[in-house]
Amino acid sequence: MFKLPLVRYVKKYPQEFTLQAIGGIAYNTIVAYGIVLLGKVIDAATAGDFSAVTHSIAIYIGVVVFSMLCRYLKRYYVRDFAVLMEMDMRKDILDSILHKSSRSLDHDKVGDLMSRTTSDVAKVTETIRKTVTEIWDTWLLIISYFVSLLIMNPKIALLSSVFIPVSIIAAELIRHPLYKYGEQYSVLAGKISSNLQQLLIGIPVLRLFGAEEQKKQELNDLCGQQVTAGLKVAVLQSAMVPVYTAVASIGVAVIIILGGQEVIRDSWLIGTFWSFLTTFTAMAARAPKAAKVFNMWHAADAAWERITEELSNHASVPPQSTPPSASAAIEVENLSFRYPLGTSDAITDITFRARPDEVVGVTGPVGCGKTALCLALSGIYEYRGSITINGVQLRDMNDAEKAGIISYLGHEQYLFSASVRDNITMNFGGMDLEADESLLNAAIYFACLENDIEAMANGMDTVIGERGVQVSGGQKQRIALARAIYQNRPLLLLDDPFSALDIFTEQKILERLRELRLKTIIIFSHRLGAFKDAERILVIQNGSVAEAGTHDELIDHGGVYRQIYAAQSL
Amino acid sequence: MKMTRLFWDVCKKNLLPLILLIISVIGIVTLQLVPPQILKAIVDDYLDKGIYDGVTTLAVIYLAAVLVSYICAFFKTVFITYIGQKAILEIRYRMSEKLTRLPMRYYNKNATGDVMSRFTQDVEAVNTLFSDGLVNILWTCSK
Repeated sequence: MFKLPLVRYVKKYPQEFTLQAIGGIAYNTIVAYGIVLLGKVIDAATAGDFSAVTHSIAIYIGVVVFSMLCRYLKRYYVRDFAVLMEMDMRKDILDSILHKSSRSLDHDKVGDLMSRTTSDVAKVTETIRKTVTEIWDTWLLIISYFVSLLIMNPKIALLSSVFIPVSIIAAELIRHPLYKYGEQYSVLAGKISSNLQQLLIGIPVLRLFGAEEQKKQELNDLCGQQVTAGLKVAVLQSAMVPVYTAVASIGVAVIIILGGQEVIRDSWLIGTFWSFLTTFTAMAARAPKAAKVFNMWHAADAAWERITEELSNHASVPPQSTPPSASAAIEVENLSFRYPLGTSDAITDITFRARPDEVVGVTGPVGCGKTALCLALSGIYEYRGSITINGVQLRDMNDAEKAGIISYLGHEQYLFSASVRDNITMNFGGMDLEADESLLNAAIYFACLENDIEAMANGMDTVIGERGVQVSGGQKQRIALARAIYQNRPLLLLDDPFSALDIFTEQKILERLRELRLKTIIIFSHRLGAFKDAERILVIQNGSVAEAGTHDELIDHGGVYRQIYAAQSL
Repeated sequence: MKMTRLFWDVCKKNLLPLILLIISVIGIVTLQLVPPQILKAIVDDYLDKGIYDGVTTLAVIYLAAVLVSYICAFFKTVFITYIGQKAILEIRYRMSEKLTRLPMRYYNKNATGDVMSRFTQDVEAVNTLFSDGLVNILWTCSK
């Protein structure tokens, strides 16, 4: 309860908060005075004093204009404050997602993360904004109306206001049922959309099996339930408001009876009587809203809890700029790896080594554990056994150290909606990093992209990706390869990088990769053509190494490798 | 003009709530006229002339008018929400009925997300016609 981070942001943006507070306080104090002034106008008019009428009206107009300026100040800065707060929260959440361990990301649903960054944040900031506004526009206003009543006549003020707190408490009491039905309503809304989605996607199956009618009935039932819940919410939320106002207004009778006596006794003028009654009515109308502030605050508490959960569960070290190592000698011993959501090991007991300037090929039938080995070597998941790079255990390195050594190319490449150049250099969001032209040209050369880029409409600046010009599967793979090479890391992990390429291009890339100095390259592929010149080939079957050696040794050995090679050379 | 058809269909099916809604709206509009008149009478005919007898009775009538108008406002919201929700239900029933009769061609051509947003968001938009539109019609008419 009351965990919302209001204080933190008040400290962070004191100027915005102070300005809106000044506006809010000034506006709501002046409004109460405006009614008193109008009462004076009435009195002046009844007395027939014309100059007093014009004088009071002039003051009244001045007061109204000034109060509206204050209101503008309040509204402008309270929104400014909320927007700054929202921006900060989004940024924090995004940071936290980007630095989350891959293990916990696999457990999160994308939709969940999206709703946390968008609707939960919006709910929290909206609530804080509304609460701050309501503190002035409801609580302060009620207080300033009440003070104004007290000044006019303390006895009548106290007697007539007895029912105001009753009304506020009554409005507060409905919070729990309202929350319950509100929750029911949104759960049903969720059920309806997933049911509808199933119906729409599954319509061919449903139609073929004659189950459409049943599914339709299910959907209709849910809709009926939602309507009932919606009705309850509406009755509690909006229909009850006039009832609370009615309770708060009971004091009106007290004012007429006691205030009437004051007028008869000539201690009140008619204008005072009018001001008192109008001020009281305005105050009573505000009473149900006073409880609403609490209710909103409670609803947003839940959203804020989900956000803090998101913010607190990242323990990663912030990235530091570690200079990339020049070379990488990798040693793998008794390595076992299991996918985060898997029930058994994908690879077991794998041992091999690779030195700078060496190419290691990893092959084996589909599903043998090639990709699992590649992921384990990339260091984004946990593993058992030992992987050392230049003598340092991979699991002991932080994210920045890993990124300084390893360049990973998965078999599902993702291109961003940006130019070819930016896709290779990964320079987005106007970071304005100067692209290293010689490195860029080298990357294009090694990935055999030079002819493709020449053929594109705007060369390197052609926009590709989601919405841009479509690139072929082979081009996509080579752009991703160029990206991996541009990183200029000593260890290159290439998971099936040539699946969409023809043998000729594949050979050309492999020949060119050989020219890369000081790189340790590990290629994962089921196509053996890639491995003829490799220093070492690992053949993996059922998650463990079945054979190891050079191409010639393995052919001589006459095992699985030779069988696959023979089949592929046909 | 299919919208108008639907509007009348829903109104016809919910005749009793509709009548009660009309009564509440008329109640609010009439009762809102009463308090200022009473106040005028209190000030002009009693207080201004220095007469106090009868003010208490008028005060009670004043309070009663205010209370009853708020109670009418309560029922207005209840019935308007009821009719609005019934309208949503009616549209959804008709849509799901239609979904089971549409040819496969339709499903191949239209993205799932499109159809879904029609079923959920667009229906809500129609609901606004009932909740805001209907009340405004009655409101303006009774004035």
